[in-house]
Amino acid sequence: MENKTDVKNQPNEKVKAFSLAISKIKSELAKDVVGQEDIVDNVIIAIIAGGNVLLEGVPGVGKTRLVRSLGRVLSLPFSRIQFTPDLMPSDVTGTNVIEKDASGKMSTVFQRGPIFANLVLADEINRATPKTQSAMLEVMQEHKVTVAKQTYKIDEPFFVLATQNPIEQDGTYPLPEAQMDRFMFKLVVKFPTVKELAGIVNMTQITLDETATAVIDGKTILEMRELSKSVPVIDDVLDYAVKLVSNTHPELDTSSSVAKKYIKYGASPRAAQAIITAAKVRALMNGKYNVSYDDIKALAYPVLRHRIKINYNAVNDKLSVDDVISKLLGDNSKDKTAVKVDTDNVVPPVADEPVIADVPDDGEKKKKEKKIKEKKEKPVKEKKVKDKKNEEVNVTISSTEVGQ
Amino acid sequence: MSENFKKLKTKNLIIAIIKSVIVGVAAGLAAAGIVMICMKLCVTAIDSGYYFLIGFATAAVAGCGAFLALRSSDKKLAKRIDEDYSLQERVQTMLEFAGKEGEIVEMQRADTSARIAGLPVLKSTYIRFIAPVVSLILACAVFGTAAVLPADAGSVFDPGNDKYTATETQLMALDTLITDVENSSVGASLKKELGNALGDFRTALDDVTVYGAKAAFAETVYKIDDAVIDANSYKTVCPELVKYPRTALLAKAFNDSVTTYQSRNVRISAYAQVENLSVLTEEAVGSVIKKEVDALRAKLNVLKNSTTASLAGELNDTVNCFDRTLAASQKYAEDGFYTALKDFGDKLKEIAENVDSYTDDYMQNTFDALSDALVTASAEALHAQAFNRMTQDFVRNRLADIFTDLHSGLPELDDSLTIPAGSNVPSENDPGGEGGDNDDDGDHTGSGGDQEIDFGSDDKIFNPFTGEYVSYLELLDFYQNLLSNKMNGGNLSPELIKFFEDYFSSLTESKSNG
Repeated sequence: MENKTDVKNQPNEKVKAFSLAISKIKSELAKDVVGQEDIVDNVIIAIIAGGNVLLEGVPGVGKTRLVRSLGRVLSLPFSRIQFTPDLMPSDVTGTNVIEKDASGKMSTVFQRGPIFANLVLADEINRATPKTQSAMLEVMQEHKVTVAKQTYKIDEPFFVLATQNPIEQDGTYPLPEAQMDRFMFKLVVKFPTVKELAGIVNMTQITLDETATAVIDGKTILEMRELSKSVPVIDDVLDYAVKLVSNTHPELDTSSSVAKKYIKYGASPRAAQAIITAAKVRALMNGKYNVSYDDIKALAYPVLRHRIKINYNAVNDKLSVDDVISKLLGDNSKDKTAVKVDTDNVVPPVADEPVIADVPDDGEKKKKEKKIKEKKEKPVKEKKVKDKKNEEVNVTISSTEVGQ
Repeated sequence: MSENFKKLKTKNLIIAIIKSVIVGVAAGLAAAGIVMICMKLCVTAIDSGYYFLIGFATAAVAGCGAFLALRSSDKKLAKRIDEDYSLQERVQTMLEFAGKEGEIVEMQRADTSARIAGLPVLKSTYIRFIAPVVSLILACAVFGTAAVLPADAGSVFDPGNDKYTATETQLMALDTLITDVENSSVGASLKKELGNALGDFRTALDDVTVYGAKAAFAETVYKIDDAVIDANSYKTVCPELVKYPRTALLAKAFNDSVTTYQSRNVRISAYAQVENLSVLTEEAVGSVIKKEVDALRAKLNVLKNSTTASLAGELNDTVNCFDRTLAASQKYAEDGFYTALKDFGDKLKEIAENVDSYTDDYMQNTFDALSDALVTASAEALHAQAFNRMTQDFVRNRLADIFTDLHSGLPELDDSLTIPAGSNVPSENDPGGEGGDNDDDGDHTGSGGDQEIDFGSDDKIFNPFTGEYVSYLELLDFYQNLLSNKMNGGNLSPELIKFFEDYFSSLTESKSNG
């Protein structure tokens, strides 16, 4: 039955708590991380949605600091794994060791590895060997570790936030598609703006310590996750998201011409799951109680950019992965305006190397003013797209250098 | 379902009904107007009830169709609301999860309902009214145009199909004309033809369109012209006679005698004028003919002093001209002009056959008598034909004057007769002649018709006394004396006398110079 009084005066407590938690997280992270609001928002979305995040950026942009601060803010047991070429799988998962008890009896005890935490920072994950990387597969997907036929479950909530440096080629091993698919998002951490850089310098002149404090716990995160699951999605929006993922497969008869021309491999079904799950969280974060087309379109880039493989047609046409995603969004629905992607800063990838797409920042309507500021400071092509008749969706997409 | 959404739905339904009514009315007005315009352009009148029926039926069909098209389902309405107010699928979600339970779903429902509360109409509604209103204005313009158009608007484009109504004055004048023709002095056959033509025209005017009336008028004029040509034999005989140089001038004289009345420059528009002109021109007709006949006579008189053979030849050649002309004009065998020419030709032929037995005086007397008879007979016949010709002018001019609205000018009549250049004289000795006659008198060499006398040259001519060809100068004195005797005898006209004097004077000069 409809509540005839003003709804705003009687908000649901859970939703209120949800909003409050989000704002607290953001404010605490802002103490340690200057700028990067879009990255922070997406990381929060992924965490609440229960997904893993791959952060890619040049050294020194704050990837590791963000994750560490996040660990403190969420008051979750945090561990950092620095991936190196000589890192072994057992270094990650743990191993059985033989211990002598007080009575002198020898027994085998499983020594847990650093993976046994709620928030795991896998730093420079692409430096580890494929064997070590594959050790992460099970834990990232199933949140459990199997060692010597013994399975050890990891406490919830569990997240893996991995980082990788796009320009370092020597001694790196590109992540396999199976592992890439385990990441809900791939976010590109761009170089800070001049103003942000100034803020960073000023902040670090005072102290290099990270001052963010815990504001929520794991239980709250789980509650928020449960709450977000109940956000309704209409069939049209669901179809839109599903068709978007389906259209990335050029082998399908129903795929779009863009996929047939520019895509080698399409996204897995996990992409569809990720996009809907994340969209629900995003909707709730933005004060909506339903998922909209805007949510799907905004999350298409972080969800799809690491899941589709573009072919040499795209390379020849100087199109990045995000450009292709933009075209897919345009093809997916004629009456929904496609979000254009800036291609000015794209560095063509070197042949014979896996193509790493340009990583644009996700933008939202609420970040409009900040994006305008960034536009003035950085040569970023900003496309104003009229989402509806009265609103303009201003999406700033910029590109960083493509990894070699 | 949200009460606010229901209110919006009701508003949208009302708007759809209003737009449907506007579209229906516009369609009805346009249909009735278009049908009315078509009827008026076709100069066809139908009961005004039909226009109402057509308009009402069209309005009903168009209105219902528009309502079905404009009426939105709940889902479409929700979609439009979300688009118009940028609600980001809130209303659609509210609608789709209307019966569902859940904390978030209920909050979503309440939130959306609050947002759409108080929305007056869809933002684009006013814009969407533009098209129906514009169509209504255009339809009113069409209907207004149809209403103000005159009932016979179509006649502007095709006046020819309108019924032609001759005035009482016109009809009375036409009847008078018919009476005049019936009471005229033209021949019975021509009178009948003229009467029929005018009578048919009078009958046609009772029920005819404008186009038909014009066509009937033109046809009547043609009939009149044809009838007169048929009745006037000179129009057939003279063009035949003019082909031959011997008779060309005579033919032209015959032709011109008929139209000698035109020299008076009188436009004949009353029958009384025909009668008067006929009297006035009777003598002129005879004088025009007489002049040329006299010239022929003089020529024959000169020739009668030549050898028998040459005279006979000359006569026969002349007869041939007449024979051929009459042969080509057989249909006028009963006509006076034809008969006059035939009699003349027969007499001339008789002379030619008996030329040996005629004395000069007898020959001359005969020529004179023949000429006089020709003049008299042909003048009488051609005077009657001139009367026909004047009657023709009278009838044409009257018709033109009475029915000025049915013509833009009468076809011109060609009364002239042109003497063709280079026409050959028919002769049995001329291989290119028209079927030469067999002449029992033998060849016609010498001063015959088949050899031209080349005056002033050294060509030889036949000396009838010696039977030898000699220079013409040797015979010049002889012929001059001969001619002088005849001229002194008073047998030649003054003009002819002078002609011969000048002729011989010129020859005398040549002789003295030669």
